[in-house]
Amino acid sequence: MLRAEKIERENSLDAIEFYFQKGWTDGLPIVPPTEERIYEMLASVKMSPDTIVGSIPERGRVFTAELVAINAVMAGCLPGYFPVVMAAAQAISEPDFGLHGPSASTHGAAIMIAVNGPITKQIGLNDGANALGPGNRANATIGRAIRLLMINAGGSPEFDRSTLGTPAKYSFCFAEKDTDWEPLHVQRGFRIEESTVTVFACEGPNQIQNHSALRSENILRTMADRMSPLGSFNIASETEMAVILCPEHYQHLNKDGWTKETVQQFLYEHAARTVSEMKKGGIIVEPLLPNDDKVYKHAVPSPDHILLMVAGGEAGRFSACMPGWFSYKQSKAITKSIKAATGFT
Amino acid sequence: MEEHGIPTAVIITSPFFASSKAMAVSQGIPDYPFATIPHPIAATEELVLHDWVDNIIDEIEKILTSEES
Repeated sequence: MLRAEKIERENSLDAIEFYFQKGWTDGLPIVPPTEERIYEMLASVKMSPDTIVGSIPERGRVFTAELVAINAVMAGCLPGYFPVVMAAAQAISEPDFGLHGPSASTHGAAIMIAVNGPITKQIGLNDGANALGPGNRANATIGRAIRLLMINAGGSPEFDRSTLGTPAKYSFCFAEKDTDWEPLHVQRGFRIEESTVTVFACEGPNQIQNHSALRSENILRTMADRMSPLGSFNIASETEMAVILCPEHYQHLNKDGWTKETVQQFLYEHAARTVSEMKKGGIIVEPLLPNDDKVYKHAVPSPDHILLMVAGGEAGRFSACMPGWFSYKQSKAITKSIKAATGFT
Repeated sequence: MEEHGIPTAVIITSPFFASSKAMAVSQGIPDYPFATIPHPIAATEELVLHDWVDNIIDEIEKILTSEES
């Protein structure tokens, strides 16, 4: 039996308007969560509504399967997407993700949801053109479901103090493309045949273009430059970074014999700023010293703090990086098996 | 920290009043007192910060020593 209060409205359009008035949306119209639609979601993961699947302990907030299902319906998810939504809701509730911090912080972090494994093809998740943009129902609604969960059950209206926020907070979900490189979830210890979600608190995509470079190192140097802006927490603090290489950049690097390991090593070494630049930018508030232009702060603590993926359309040399939220000691990227989270295979 | 027997005074800056109140409510202590100073702490000269703290020091003492806390 559902615990949510039943509300009667004249028709669907009236219900949509009612949800706007109550502040239960992300600013866009929602799909009214009828009892029938909620139970369809729950059936896809065979969970009873009162199963506790996550929480934000600092706020005294608890996520039940019912609450996740309600917000998935509202987002416009199909029941087939729900195992991904459920796994993501559990992943962000992991203590190491530290959900309270990035979702309250003035930094305004988005929740990136990267999906690997067979489920991406099963539900038609986009890993190609416009992978991070609009147009695909699975991409748009899975990310949106998590945001609506945060708004309606996670306490965002009371706690979210984002200065600017980012459009990526509406929805940020995509699939990694299958390539010759090791997929992200295998790098993070899962079997290739497993379907997983990887959640990461981060900025929206910071895009690069490099259409002229003939050498792989030049492409990577361009990315390293974008990965090390003075104004990111990667330079001011210590945190992870997600990187998406587009297919054209990936093919160029792969042909030249680069692997994810060597790419991550190169990016780690070259994504750095000098202490001198940090002091001139007021990131470090201390007087300049003679050797400061020879001391470097790396954008990530190690190559393994880079989440490297391939996605995007077959044409165009545009890749992107996503600087992480404030500190990886308070919030780490988390990868969760969808089967472990839901029993769904 | 209060639960561990350590007298505690919470200091917030003005834009965080609503979320601090929400946190107090979430923890089951809706009337938990906190002292408020101007915003921001970041990018503010140290002398000014000292001034702000001087202005609330009596309030901090009251919070730490009152029976309600």
